[in-house]
Amino acid sequence: MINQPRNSEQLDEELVSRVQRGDKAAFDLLVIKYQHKIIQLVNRYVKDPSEAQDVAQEAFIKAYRALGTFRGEAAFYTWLYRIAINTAKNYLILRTRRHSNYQLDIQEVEAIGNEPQLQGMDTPEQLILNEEIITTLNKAIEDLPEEMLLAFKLREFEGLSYEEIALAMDCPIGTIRSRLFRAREAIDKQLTPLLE
Amino acid sequence: MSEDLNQKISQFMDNELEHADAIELLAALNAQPELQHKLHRYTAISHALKNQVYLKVKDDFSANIAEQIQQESVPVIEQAPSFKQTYQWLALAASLAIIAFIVDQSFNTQLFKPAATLQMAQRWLPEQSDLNKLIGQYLKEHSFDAYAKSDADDKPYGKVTTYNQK
Repeated sequence: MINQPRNSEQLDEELVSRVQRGDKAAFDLLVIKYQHKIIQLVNRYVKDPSEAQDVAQEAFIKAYRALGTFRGEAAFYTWLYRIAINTAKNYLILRTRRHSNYQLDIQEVEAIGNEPQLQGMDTPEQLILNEEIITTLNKAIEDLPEEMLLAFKLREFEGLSYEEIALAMDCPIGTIRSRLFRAREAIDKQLTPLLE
Repeated sequence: MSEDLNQKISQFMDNELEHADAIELLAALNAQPELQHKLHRYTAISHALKNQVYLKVKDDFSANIAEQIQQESVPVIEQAPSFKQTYQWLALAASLAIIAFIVDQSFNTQLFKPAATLQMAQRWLPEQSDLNKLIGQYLKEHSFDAYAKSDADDKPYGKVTTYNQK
């Protein structure tokens, strides 16, 4: 089967439409696709990484329940993003009420979300490990063969589709698909020892 | 086989995998934990490149959500009113508003103003002159002095008019 290049929003629309028709597996794909982005977003508010993942899970469940109201006026991710932010803010407010007499108001919650920080980096050990991972990652990218590196950069940083990369590099889509996969494998191989 | 699935993970991340293949991949992900780890690592790499943070997601993150979703009912789609429906409601509302306005104007200018009521009565009563004659005749015959002493037909008619005005 030849895969037609589609943008992310078109794929999301199709998945949402399938969930609305009762295909729950399609929602699993949306979770897999956006879990990192949503966890990172929630991490900006809820600084404990473990709690952040629980809140992110709650946000996905809320999104599923509200999917009947989603009409595609905004992109699915934009809609999900709002739900995740509201879930995180509500979590913070409720947590503060439970643990002290001091009540966090909505302006303070907004300010927390805007603070620059290394999300989920609670301890110096975590900070050091993250630094090591990022250094290894950058080195792994530098080590990629030139054509693989170009395809990888066009995809990851420029967001081009396979078809657009194939046109830019004047080669078949299958080659691009393979180059991107090989690039990821090569990077993953170098990172694995640090992650185990 | 595993390499083929790993390549599909790579395609899925790039939104380049058809839905049927994505569903197949999902089944494989649920059956093979090592594939889930691969997906998490690929996604974390992509995320780290852009954010300079390597985010480790719990292995059971998506599985927990899938488990909870299974217990939920299918989300009910709320239909937005179509343009045609909205237009019909607007037309109905406008018609009702116009009718209400006309009725209001009619009552204000004709029915509830005493002068208007008197005019209406005056327009109506002369047509009843035959009836007035009959009433006068009746009163004479039944010895109602106040009316029997009246010579003209106008007097009983005037009294009846006055009564009506009250």
